Amino acid sequence: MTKTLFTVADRQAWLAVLAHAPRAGLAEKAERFVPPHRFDWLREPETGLALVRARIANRGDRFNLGEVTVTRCIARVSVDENTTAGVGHVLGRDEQRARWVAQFDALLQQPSLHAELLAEVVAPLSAAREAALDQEQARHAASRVSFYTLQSEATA
Amino acid sequence: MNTSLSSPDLLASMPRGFADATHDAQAVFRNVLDALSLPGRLQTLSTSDGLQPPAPLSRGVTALLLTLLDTETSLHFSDSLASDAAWMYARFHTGVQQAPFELADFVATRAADATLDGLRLGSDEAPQQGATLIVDAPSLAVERHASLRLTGPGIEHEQRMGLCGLPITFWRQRIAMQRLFPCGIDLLLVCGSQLIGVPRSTLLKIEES
Repeated sequence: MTKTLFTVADRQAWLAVLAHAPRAGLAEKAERFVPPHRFDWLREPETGLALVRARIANRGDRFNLGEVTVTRCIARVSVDENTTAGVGHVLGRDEQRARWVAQFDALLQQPSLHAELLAEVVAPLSAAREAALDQEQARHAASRVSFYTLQSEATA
Repeated sequence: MNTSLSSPDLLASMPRGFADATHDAQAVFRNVLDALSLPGRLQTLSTSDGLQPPAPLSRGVTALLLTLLDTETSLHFSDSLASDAAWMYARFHTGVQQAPFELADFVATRAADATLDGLRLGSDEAPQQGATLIVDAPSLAVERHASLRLTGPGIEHEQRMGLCGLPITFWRQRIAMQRLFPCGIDLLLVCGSQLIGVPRSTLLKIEES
């Protein structure tokens, strides 16, 4: 099978958007796009721990930051005799959210649905997330303390 | 073939495991328990309808693998059962580690190329590290020309069973191991949905007519 519909990076991007999407936003989209399809659960949702490792400022030695709860599942769907498998990984224990992510991932790999879902589901969720991030950053920026004056005297 | 577990095509074509992972595995585990506590006696494996075995594994062997394996165990497929599909299936559904024949906790094989030579026997300090051999047998019926007479724990007087398609040299090897007890190999013989267990504690005698 040759697939030029999307790259691995594209899939990573939409999975990130879906995994970060708030429950309400995802539920609304799922209500609209998921019901017409019948899913086969290759892996039912299961909850486990994942170790998060980090490096300060992305440099220096790696250390174990802590463990997080992750729920994952795998859904399969057939559209026009083309079977695709979608994976859902979300932080926390919300199994329904993991199911929605897996279902959308499977549907997004279907050539007949790809473009529509990208425009109707991924794009709005991504825009909503960016808007929320911008808003939060603006709120933090307002309380920023500037040491500009002190610095310029020191360098003068 | 791309053998990465994250390959989308691989997941799309992955055969299904147990329909109800918890309860189906518990039911098969009970069958294994019965088979090992009543050596030589035929048990029926309660395999669920949803199970799709990967080529070339049989349904019974697949059910045993899904029940007994997890990420902390290791598995070796003999040449007759080894395939990419079987490995991917075992890795995906159980997370089992691949191991060479001499180090594996579980070895799955067809009767035709089954051997006990070199299998892990455990040690006197840790006899539980002896391997379990899962044999895909052509038949579990008692044949006329030769049979096995079993005695030992779990058998009141004696129990009879056939050679299960295994060569007579295999059974001689098994008998030679009896003096190593508590070290040894536990045998699970599967044919279709039928199962016979021969734990290491069972004493065998070959009867030829």
